[in-house]
Amino acid sequence: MPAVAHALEPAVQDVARSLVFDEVYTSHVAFVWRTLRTFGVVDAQLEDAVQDVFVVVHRRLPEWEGRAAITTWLFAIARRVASSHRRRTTSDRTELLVDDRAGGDDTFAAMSRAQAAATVLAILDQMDDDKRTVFALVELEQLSVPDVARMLDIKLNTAYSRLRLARQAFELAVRAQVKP
Amino acid sequence: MTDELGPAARALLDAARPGLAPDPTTVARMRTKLDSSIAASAGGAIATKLGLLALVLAVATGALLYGAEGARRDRSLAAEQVPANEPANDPAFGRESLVPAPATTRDPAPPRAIEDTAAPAPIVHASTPAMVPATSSTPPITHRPPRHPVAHADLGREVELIDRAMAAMRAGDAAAALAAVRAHASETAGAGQLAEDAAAIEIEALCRLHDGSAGKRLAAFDARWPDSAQRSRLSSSCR
Repeated sequence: MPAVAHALEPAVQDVARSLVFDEVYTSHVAFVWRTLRTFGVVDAQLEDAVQDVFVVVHRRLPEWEGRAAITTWLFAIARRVASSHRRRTTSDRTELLVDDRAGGDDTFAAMSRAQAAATVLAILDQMDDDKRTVFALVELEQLSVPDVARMLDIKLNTAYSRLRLARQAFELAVRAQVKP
Repeated sequence: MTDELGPAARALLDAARPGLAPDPTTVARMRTKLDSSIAASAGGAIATKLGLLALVLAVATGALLYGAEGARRDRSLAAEQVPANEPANDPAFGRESLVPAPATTRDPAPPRAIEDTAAPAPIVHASTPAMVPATSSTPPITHRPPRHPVAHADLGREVELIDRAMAAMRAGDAAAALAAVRAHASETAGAGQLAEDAAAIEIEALCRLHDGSAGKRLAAFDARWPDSAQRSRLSSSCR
């Protein structure tokens, strides 16, 4: 009966979509989480923001068609979701930076994950959005610069330029921390 | 100043990287919440479809009854021509059994309840019962009363409208797609989380309709989202 066939078809599609969605979620939830953090979503709102991203992903996965890398697509969704969440203040992380100040290159190796993450985020907060984004994608997500340029739809030279400036800013901030 | 990071900066990044990802417990907790949200959303979608079906049936039934009312004068004669085993001749399938359907048309509560399920934070409701059946035959947005823009429309509602617009585009109905994205713009005051998607669909629809305002919209799109990943798609769509 055609009506039954029509009723079953979406169900089959749902199962297929669910399988793909599971894979996307498992493989990329950390990426989405970090991207949202990079764009300034406060810790208290991260879980909600991640959920917002994946609700959109689940609904729109059939339209994705694989024409772009999945990370590019997730990144675009996460960026928009992040913009709707309140930006975090930098004061808390600045305090952490001061508290952690000690000295020596091995200082950061001895930090707890949370302390190190907070320190990195505090430094990233001081960068403008363009540099922070390129830096986070290259240095934290370990994507190639050409991939990042494609992801952000910017020229390769622009990506390299932003990365160079961001690295300089990051390096300066780190040196400021390790000086006795 | 070198372009590369020094060992201290590298050490900091290496130490920070694991702390920048959610721990397994958090991942599992988020997944549970997400599954609930998706299930609720799917339930809402099914309810919406059932609601639309109910509306179509209600309108169809209303039309039948209207026709029946018009033919009331001839009913006794018509009844004589119907075979005995025909439902129309059976009191159980008679006029009384159809009364609740037009009652649905008169009472907006059932469709409203369905709509509320589909959109957890509905912005506007049909204000008169007469508008409810109208949604089944024409784009619903154009048959709703003017709405006050709401800056923070629910994401689920945004997704619903964008889904509707994309489905209309796939079906080749650019006008319906335009109605959906304009409803999105109205409900979010142009500041929704999916505003970029809505704007892109609007431009695509305008191009498909050969509307002269497409170029102007495209320029505005470029100004607002200069780095949009959707720009290349718009270029090919509006060639």
